[in-house]
Amino acid sequence: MTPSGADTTHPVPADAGIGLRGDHYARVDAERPDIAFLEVHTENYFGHGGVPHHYLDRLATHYPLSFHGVGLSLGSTDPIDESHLARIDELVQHYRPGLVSEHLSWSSVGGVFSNDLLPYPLTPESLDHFSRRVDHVQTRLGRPILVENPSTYLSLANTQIDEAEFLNTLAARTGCGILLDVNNVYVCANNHGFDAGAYIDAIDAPAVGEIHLAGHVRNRFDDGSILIDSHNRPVCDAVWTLYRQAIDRLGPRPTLIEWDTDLPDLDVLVEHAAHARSMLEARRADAA
Amino acid sequence: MLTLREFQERFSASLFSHADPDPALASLIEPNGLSAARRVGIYRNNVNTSLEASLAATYPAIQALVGEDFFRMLARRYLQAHPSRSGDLHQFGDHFDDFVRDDPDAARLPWMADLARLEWAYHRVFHAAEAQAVASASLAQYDESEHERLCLRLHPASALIASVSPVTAIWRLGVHGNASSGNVDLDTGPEYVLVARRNLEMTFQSLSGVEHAFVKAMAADHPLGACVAAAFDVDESFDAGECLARQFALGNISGVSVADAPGEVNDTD
Repeated sequence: MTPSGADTTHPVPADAGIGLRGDHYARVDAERPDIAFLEVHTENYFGHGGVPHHYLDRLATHYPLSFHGVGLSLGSTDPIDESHLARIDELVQHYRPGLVSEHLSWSSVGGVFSNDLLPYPLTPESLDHFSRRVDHVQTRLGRPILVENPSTYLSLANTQIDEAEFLNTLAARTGCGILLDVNNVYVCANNHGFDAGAYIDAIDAPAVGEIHLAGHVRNRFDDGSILIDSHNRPVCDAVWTLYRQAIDRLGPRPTLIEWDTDLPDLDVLVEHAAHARSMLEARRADAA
Repeated sequence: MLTLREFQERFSASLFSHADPDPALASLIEPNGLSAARRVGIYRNNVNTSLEASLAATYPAIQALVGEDFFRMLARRYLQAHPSRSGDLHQFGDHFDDFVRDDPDAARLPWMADLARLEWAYHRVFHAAEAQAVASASLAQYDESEHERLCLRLHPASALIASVSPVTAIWRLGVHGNASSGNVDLDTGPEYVLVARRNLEMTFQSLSGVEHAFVKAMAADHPLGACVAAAFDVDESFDAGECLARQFALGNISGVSVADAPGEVNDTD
């Protein structure tokens, strides 16, 4: 990492971006494809130098950045890992990303990490807990974050608050934004039997700061099947349709194509982003 | 009803113990088609798969040489013995060298612990801080009488390995070679290696025993006089000037300063 000269954030526009992965560093740097922003997994830059920071330093001068965290374990009942949070703060100070996000989930308890996004109970008490954690993070970082709805593979019998309402209240209480993952809404609606469109309609529109789009797979078992948020395939037609419904209602938002497993050729990601961009432009034309 | 803490503890226990969720946890999970055990199993599978992939990304040569099935078995055992302790997955795998040395199946391949240390060093150096190497001319500003007290800073993207096996040849076979039919003469060890990243390029510098002693003392922030003494202990014919010139030429030195507290820096043990 070299010292950052910039002292302002670079806002992420309501346009389409892609995830930046190591296999694409050299080509993105050489070709500078026409995409609106780059999103990285924050923890992939927890090292202090080498190839990852070399490229991100270069690309940060050309593209707005979004830092998407997967390891803070926001919903955990363990204390927040202050060293983890301090490293996020250093990166945010250095790169000045337009967006910083994490998940409505937990990934550790008793100091043991699953490094996965585990299902979080949605109750008044758990909302209090999650709100305190988001407050703590935002105070430490000196800026708001976005919280993403995850894909879940089970629903809890003690649920007292719909997820959309939980996120709306969290945003109202803490000033955080919502990262609406349309694929995750689709996956959960399928897995738990609710109406994906109704979820989109229930989300507090002004709170939504970003949208994620991804691919999923269906896993079949002898007692049934379930959709898994796999990030390894194209966005399916049903999710594109739900995305159109989302931007019709919310207005244009920064939109990320999230495909980080079985990473495709860069051109495929850029084509996906172009498709999202054309839908955002159509939405703007409708509004004009 | 379970508290949030109790729910998380029981869910985590079920993930890592491979046991079905206990009755209190199971009663919290809506069956809705798939059973509670099946649903927790989906998470368990995701966790195992991603942690195993993370370990394989850090130890690609070991995975290539032992094969995916054996590596998966080792990864599952490792996860039980040394669960992930950080939200930063780059930290996962830091005990793998000790683990393969002690695991009864892995220990039958005695080179594996050496290779694990090399791959962990590679992983650390790949992500280590950047620094500018300095030229040997930077010594010129100091009077020769001060040289003994100079501290040469080893480039931060460096890690020293002393291996019983010919570990870099084994690594190359795993990463670049035909792992199923290639050969390495295991009797060509031991080997001293400095894993280094210079100008973004990862390299293995092969060191003699005497150079290893010198660089090891330098890595421990000992002053030049003590580094030279450590090398002389290994070989009385040690040529300090030549060794120093080579360290500068390889970009291994990222700073030169005078130790300002001689009482401390003379303590070379």
